Order: sequence, then structure tokens, then C-alpha cells
Amino acid sequence: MKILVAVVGLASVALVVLVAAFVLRAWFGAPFDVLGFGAPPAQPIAFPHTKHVQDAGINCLFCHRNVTTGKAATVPAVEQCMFCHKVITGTGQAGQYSTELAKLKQASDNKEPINWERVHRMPDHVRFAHEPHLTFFTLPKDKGGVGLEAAQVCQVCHGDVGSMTVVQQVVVNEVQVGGTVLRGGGALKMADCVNCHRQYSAPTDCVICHH
Amino acid sequence: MTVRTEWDHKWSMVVDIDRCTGCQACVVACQAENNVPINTEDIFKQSRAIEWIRIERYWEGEFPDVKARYLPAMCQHCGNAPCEPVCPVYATYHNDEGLNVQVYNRCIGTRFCANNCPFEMRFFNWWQPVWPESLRNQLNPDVTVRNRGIMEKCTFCVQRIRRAERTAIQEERDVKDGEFAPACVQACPTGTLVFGNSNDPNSRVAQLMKSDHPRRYRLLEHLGTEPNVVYLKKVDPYLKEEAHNGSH
Repeated sequence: MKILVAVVGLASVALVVLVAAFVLRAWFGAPFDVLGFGAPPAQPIAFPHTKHVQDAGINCLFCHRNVTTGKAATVPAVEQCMFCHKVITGTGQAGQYSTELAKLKQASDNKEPINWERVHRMPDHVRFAHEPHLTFFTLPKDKGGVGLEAAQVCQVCHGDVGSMTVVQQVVVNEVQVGGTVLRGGGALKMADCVNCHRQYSAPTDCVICHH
Repeated sequence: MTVRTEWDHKWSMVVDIDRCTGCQACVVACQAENNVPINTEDIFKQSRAIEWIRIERYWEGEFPDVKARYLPAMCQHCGNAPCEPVCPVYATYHNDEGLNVQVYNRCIGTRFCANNCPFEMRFFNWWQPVWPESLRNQLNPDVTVRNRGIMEKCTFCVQRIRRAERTAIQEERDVKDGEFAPACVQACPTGTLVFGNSNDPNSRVAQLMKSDHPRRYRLLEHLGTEPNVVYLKKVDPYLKEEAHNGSH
């Protein structure tokens, strides 16, 4: 009997510790990659960044064109996809679309947007703006900036999206851009933001982000 | 250019009572800009309505000689704010630009600040706010939707201030006077409300809030909260006539 009590007790303690570890890890960083928790969200169209960035050599800013001027980086409109995909059908034959690109063609014909799933999530109550970050990181070093190319800035927080077949939020602790090692955006938690803001003496007034 | 992180800004407002017609356009504009929950008759009757800016209406005189007086009132962004020291979690504080800031994610809803505000300009979310389906896409993405159980109040449309400052940084210049305005100021058809940087002596707001302005006063000035909003008294032609006639 005593053994049974001990076993049940130990098992419940172990369970509590496991759950606590899981929750804490998800809270302070990225969740453990089990039971589909760490998996990227399913997208309506399997969009490979690899093909667009690595094979076609398209700059991030060509599609996410609002990133240097506005709060949101913006996902391109269907119309913008069709600039290229009117011609590039995925099968090599005009008018014959591959399975995934057929969905895009259909959305374009029906004049419907594509309901992409959000991949990168900031904690609640943050009003993040892309543009000031791009402005600062692309500013030349002698003017007090970091002097990166606009397309290099993205990976500080988003990781190397160009090599991702399926986009996923990743923890970026360190990033190497053009020979220099920079602190990464981490898991996009407040501590990661504030550490970087302190390093570059950016404002740390609460209302800069929380309003 | 270096990226600016500090500004010589002190955001202030002037309310020229003489121009106010009590149309409530500012109230509506504020409601729409700042995701302020919808107030129903029931909520009003409980005195739990949330209005970041409100038109206080006073009746003066006896019938038939009655005059309506209007006083637009919003958070006074006091320089010596009574709401700030009572917050146990530093959810409200004064920032470098003269704003009395409410940090929603720090707030734990003790309501001490509302209790200490002599202007009754802080509002508590007694319920989870709900909007009808038709207004779902009307919510402003730049402003947090506040939850049940936290305090909220006028922010001088800090999201617009930030946007103007970001644009100024990009264009390597200072924020120009009158370049942007909070929603209430923008909506005001008579120019009652004037907003700007009072640290800049040439700004319109600094000109109007000069200490020697003959009509200048501040709400509950005797309390010494140093409000950042300056009111300009109503010019009343009738009162003058009465004074001349020596009768009431």
C-alpha cells in the first residue's frame, strides 16, 4: 500500500514538473517541439521561400514592400504574386498550373484574398513597427546605425527565412551578417526587445511599444 | 543624421471654450480612433460609461433666459499627476514628452488612480468590451483593445504621436507644428481644440497657452496638479450687457 502511495505521489510530482517545464519554456522561449506545439501553422498554399529567395534570388523587400515605410511588413497581394505567376505556372506549360499554384490562380480569378496564417507572434499588448527598425539597421555605421542591407536586417529577428521551405518562428540568439556577429531577436519576447534597445540606446519608454 | 531617441517635446492642448458648440464630434472621433467600448444607456445609468473625452454640459440661468455651456474635458495629463504615485505597480507614469501614460499590461485594476483623479478622467473596464460584428473591421490596429479589469484613459492619441515621430526620423527633421493631431482635435469643426508641442515657443499651442493670456485658466487649478491642458474662457456678450444695465 505504502509503495502504491509513493508511486502515485512521485508520478504526480513528475507530471506537475513536466507541465511546469513545458509552460515555462513556452512562456520564456519557444515551446518544445512535441504534439505539434512547435510546428509551423498550416498555410492555405504551400509557399516555399527557398524557391523564391535562393533559386529566384528575389529580395525580401520585393514582396514585403511596406516594411521600410510602415508598421507591417505586409504579405503581398494576390495580384502581386500574379506579376510572375501569370507566366510561371509551375509545370513549364502556359495555362497549366501545378496543384499549389492552381489555388493562387483560382484566388486571382475569383478576386479573393488568400487567408495566410500568421506565423510570427509577438506577446500581447505590443504595437510593433517594422519601419524604425529597418531605418536604424540600414543606417551607415558612421552615422550611428548598423549599416546592414535591408534584406539582411530581416534575419536578425526572423532567422534565415530564405532557407525555410515552410516558414516558422525560430529563436535567433545570434546572427552573422557580413562578417559581423549581432545579437538576434531571440524568441521575440519583451526581454529580447529590451536587451537590444538598451544595446543600441533605442528608447525604452513603455509607451513606445505599449499603447 | 543619427537615429533620434530623444525629443524636446511636451505635448499640450488648448481648449477654447468660446468656440465650442457642444457638437460631440470629438467624442465620436475619439471613440472610433481609440477602440473605446460602446456605451449603452444601461452603462450610462450605472455611471460606468467610458469616454476618453466628454462634453460636460451646464445650464445657466432660469427659463426662458437659459444658456447651455459646454466644456470638453479629457485627461489633463497633469505635470503633477495625483494618479501616478498611488499606482502600486507603476502602470501609470509620466514620460519624457509630458504624457501621463497608462501601461495596460502592467495594470492590475486596483482603481486607486481613478479614485485619486480630481477630474474623473480615468475609466475602469467593468466588462469585457464587445463590438457588434459590423464594427469588427473598424477597430484601430494601432491601439490595444483593453480587457476587462484594467484602467484606461485619454493618451493624447500616442499612436499618432509615435507615427509622426517615426516619419520625422525617416525624413531627418523635427516634428512640424500642426503636422498631426489627436482624433478629437482633427474632428473639431470649430477649432476649439488645439494640440501641439508647448516646448516650441513658435507653436500655435504655445502661443495660446502663454501665461498672460487674458482668458487662460486651468481646471481645478487650486489643487496644484499642473494640468497640461489649458482652457480659454468663454467670451459672453450677454454678461457684458447685463453689467452695463446693472440688472440681472
